[in-house]
Amino acid sequence: MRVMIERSDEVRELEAASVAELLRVLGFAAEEVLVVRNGLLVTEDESLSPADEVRVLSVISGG
Amino acid sequence: MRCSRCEEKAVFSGPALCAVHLVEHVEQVVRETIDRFGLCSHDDHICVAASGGKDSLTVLSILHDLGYRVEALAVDEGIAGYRERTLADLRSFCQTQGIPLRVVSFVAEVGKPLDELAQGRHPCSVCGVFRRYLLNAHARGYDVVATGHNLDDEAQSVLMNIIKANHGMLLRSHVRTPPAPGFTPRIKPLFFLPERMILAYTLVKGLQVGYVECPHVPLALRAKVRDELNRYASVDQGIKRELVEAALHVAAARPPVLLQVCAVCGEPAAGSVCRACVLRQELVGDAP
Repeated sequence: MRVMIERSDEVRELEAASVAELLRVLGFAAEEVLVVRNGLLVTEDESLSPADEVRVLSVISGG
Repeated sequence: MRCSRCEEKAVFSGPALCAVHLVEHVEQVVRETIDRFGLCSHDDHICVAASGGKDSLTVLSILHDLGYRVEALAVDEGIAGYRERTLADLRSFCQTQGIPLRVVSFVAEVGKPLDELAQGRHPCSVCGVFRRYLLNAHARGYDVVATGHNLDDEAQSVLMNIIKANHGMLLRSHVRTPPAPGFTPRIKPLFFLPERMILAYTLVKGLQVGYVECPHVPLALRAKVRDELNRYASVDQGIKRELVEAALHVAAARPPVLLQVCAVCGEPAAGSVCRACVLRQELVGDAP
């Protein structure tokens, strides 16, 4: 699936069966990010499929 | 995952909340914080210290929606590629909502942008001193200054002051600062809201917040403390709340810090001359 990672401003092709697995693959703690799947905010237990477009948003911003 | 309050699908976990109940929860926590600590009244003229990031837009949005009389005050430090983007979001939001906005800058008030001021020094320490100075100087006449400090910011500050053995600030946390001459009280309506929940709130509410991280953040101790705290919080969600509640408990029992009046500029100061005047003399070669 196509994954846009906001903090590093990169787009990657990755495989993961769930949001939780995707975060493990990317090395993010759940506290650090929110995940948007096909335009909708989703929780870590949600499943992912190869056709999904995923955005991993960084909770951290500002200074 | 289902919402803990209804049958809808959750959009947020910890607690599990659907979009409707997430918004309701965030606004309820803000109202409870205002009531518990007597942060402000509807008669107050509130200055919101705003950057255009998610936290300050959330404070502005909620206080405005609750019918409080708010105005936004932004400080443009002069950090290339960063502040101009958040200020654009802030201008757009204030214009749409009809909220007055004032922007003061380091260039106009201090003489140089932060990028030039901080040559050879840690930019965060220079930035913090002048930001606090300008905020207080320009918030005079308002009843309170509302800031976007959230639960993560506060928990990080508690740990940072322990790590730095900062005796004066050790476990000194306030949702509303105690009264002090020449100092407009600061209030923190988002004090008990996790940063992650605030971001979810801005997404659900459709507040336009672009992701921008200050380029100096990776240099700061705060970033390291933040990352470690988030790893702990991933296995113990209550840890941030417990840290700030402990700090509030201790702060309530400690005497307030007594401020003096700066001999140079007349602003509140910890010593005979305020830190902003000392720094300004060193970095720019003059004082106000």
